[in-house]
Amino acid sequence: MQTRMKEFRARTNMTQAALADAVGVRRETIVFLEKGKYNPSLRLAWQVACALETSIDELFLFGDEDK
Amino acid sequence: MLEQYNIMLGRSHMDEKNEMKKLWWGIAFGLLAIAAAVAAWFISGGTVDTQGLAILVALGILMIVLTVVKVHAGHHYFMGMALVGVVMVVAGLLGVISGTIPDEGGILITCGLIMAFVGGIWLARSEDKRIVDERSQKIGSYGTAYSWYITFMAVILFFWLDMLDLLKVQVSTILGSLLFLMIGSALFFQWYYNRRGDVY
Repeated sequence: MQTRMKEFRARTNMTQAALADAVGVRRETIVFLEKGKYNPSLRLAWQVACALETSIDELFLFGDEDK
Repeated sequence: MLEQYNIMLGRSHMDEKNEMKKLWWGIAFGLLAIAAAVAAWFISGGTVDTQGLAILVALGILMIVLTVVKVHAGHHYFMGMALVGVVMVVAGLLGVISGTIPDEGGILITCGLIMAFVGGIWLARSEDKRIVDERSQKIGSYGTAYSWYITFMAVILFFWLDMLDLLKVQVSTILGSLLFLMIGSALFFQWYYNRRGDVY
């Protein structure tokens, strides 16, 4: 799984800490999410998408190997 | 802006709901322990071991009090826990040295050390690490589950070693090993998955 979180975070001018605070998670969770190393729940994915003013399908990119 | 997000995400409502759930579960378990003690007393017609019942009632009350304090006090709960632990250790040491509670002093010191350790670890964490989110809960649960499997394997191993007369050890040694294995493996798995980012 790949994410465009970094790009959207830069667009909304949010730091990792501010995003973590907005969605109620640890900053390290945002770090692992951005690296694509953590597979979030649908609820967290939606919360992050809302906070970054975008949608889940724009934020998280799945390749064929993820199917 | 952050408050706006919280309202939009409905986070405060969910957090409140989870906290209330924890509170009710804690109270329910506490009441269950007290009810079990009272029921045992009536069913036996008052002939049952009263010390055992008193411990059960005390544990039930303690469970209710701790749950209420934990839900409402948050950070102060762990500070209180560490302080009570230190007081217990000091009281235990004084009791042993003065000879007033030579046997119970040891239990008091052990329980106090555990409380001071758990409270101290929480207080030593950074603000970020004190947040319990879905990732930390997931890693915590998986770490504990894998630790359970390891301990289960160890129990089977000890059982067969004893059955086949390959190993002769005292029960306290086995229980001590299992205790350390369970806690140690849980901490190891949680550390490992935390470094990896996820449990997969």
